[in-house]
Amino acid sequence: MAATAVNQGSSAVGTSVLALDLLARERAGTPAVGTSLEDMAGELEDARKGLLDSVPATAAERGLHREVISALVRAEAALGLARQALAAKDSRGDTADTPGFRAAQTALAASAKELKGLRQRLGTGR
Amino acid sequence: MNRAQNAPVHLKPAPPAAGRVLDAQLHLLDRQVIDAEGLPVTTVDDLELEGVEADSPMTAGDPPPVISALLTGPVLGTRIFGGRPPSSRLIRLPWKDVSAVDVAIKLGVRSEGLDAGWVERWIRDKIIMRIPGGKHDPH
Amino acid sequence: MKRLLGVALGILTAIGGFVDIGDLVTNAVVGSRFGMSLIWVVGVGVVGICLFADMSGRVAAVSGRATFEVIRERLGPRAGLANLGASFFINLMTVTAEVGGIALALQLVTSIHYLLWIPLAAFAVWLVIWRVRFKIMENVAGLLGLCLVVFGVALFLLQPDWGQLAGQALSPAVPQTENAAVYWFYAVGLFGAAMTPYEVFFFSSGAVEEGWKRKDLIQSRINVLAGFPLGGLLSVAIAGCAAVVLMPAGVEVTSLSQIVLPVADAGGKLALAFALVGILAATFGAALETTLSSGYTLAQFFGWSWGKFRSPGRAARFHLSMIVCLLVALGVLATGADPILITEYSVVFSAVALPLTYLPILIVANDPQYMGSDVNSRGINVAANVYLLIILAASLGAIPLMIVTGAGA
Repeated sequence: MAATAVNQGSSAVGTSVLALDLLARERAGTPAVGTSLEDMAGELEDARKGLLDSVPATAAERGLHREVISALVRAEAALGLARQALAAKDSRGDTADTPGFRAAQTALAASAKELKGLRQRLGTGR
Repeated sequence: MNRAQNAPVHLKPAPPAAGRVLDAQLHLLDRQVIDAEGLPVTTVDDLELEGVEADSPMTAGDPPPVISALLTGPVLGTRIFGGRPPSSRLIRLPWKDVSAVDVAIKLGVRSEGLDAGWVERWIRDKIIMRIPGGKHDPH
Repeated sequence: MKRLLGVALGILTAIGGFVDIGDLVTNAVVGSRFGMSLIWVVGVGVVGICLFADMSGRVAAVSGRATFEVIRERLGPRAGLANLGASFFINLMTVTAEVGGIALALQLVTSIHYLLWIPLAAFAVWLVIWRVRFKIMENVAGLLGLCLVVFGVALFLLQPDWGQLAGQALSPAVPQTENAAVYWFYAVGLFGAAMTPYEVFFFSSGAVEEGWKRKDLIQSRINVLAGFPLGGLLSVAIAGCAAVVLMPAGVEVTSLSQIVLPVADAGGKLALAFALVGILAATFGAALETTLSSGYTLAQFFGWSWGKFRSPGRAARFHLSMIVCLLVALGVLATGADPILITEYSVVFSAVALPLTYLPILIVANDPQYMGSDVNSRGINVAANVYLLIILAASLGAIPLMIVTGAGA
């Protein structure tokens, strides 16, 4: 269960990193990137809720659940930053090179690394 | 047509008939019916036979039954689920209107005046023709 | 010259018309999760759809009878109705998926939420069916669908390790991150996406719409034999893009927005624009085809007057049934059901229902009463019977695999 959630979260964060990167390199416009980020926010929420719905059996599992959920919450926060930066760009016509953007990119990259580590530890659960 | 119940015990070869021999199951049932203008009307859902009593076995000397009409409409349900609809509820295409039996059954009349066309006409007049462009010919 | 143009146009529309939301989603999902290791299934599916389309087109052109007239005549009312029920249900699911796909593509263009686009998308589909001539409708959607070639261009621009891709494709193996049951589940889905039954209802009814005769068979055969395999290559390119960009990033496709990211990565905004136009055209074209197919199947089974070559007033029940189908699709989508999920289920159920239409067509294509001297040749029959086994295996395997794998989760 935890592995599935990590997998889903890792995929969503990976997509967001790619989408923001495309925006920074002006390879994709706001509508496509914004839709991606919105879809991925949904995915992260799904992953977290799916995990919250399952009941861990052992103490070790409970610890793992807590760890994965907090990783997912951090990922959601990072994605939130990215969506805010995108909205600011849209309304003020900023470039993709603002402090807000750089902060979002850094946060997402950290999340991606964290989830990747968890994924390597847990496997894909398939 | 519940053939299994009414089938005679011993089948003699059919008497020689003038013209083409049609197998009701193969050439009539479930065939498309087309009117004189080439417009599809319906599919043959069942047949109405005259000169034969339902549920009583035929004997060798009896006169052969005659197809009086092609049936359509709710009678299809009885072929699928069994049972027999009341005679008054049948939608008939009289056999005298049939002009040819080919891969489809052709009628010698237009579907406009037929009972079998009432659903189509009702939907056409009450719904489709009231939407702008309903009369629009694509060509 | 005119004939040559006709052939070229036919091939081009067949290519552009091959891909629909099912192919798009399934190929991208498979590419992002299995690399090129399931691509062989696209090949199997394309040969299958060529065979199937060849037989049903021939039956339509020679006997003048479309698929469901034949199915009812051959199977009788009881088995025919069961067949109609299953085929119609899956077709309706596909209509829903395609209309949802149009709306998702419009969201990618405008960033307005897809739910707001759904009524407009459904209305536009209806309007085209109501007013636009069959030929124009087919050609415009097919030609614009060719924009999807940008996925092939993007794959080249990405400069992948071709040796590695070819290795995955030619000696397929289940990736370490996946298990064998999931692999085979997606194999069935990919097969169902390539061989969706609606393509055959549409193809054979289209043959009647356009009044094909025996002499048109050669051209139709060229269209199918050239167009579908090239369309299949588009599917492969979509999977390839996902395999090259998304798989290494640990991204598993769950939304339409992910499918276009590799194209933007490779070719920038212009390439992205082509991809979006292509996806819009492909989903819109397929929405037209599936909606018409639902009208065709009902009308042919019950013997109603049908066809876009008649004015709506002369095919009233046919048009009404299509309006109702679009309204049902609209209602399902309005509940917020995920169009991508509907798509994934629709391709699997397509595989389940495939034998229902394949077998009667195979029988009739061998029946001299309908076909005269144009019955299947020996070579086609050998291939068609091999495919009957493949289709049966996919159909029987689909539901157990779906249950075992939790629909590939």
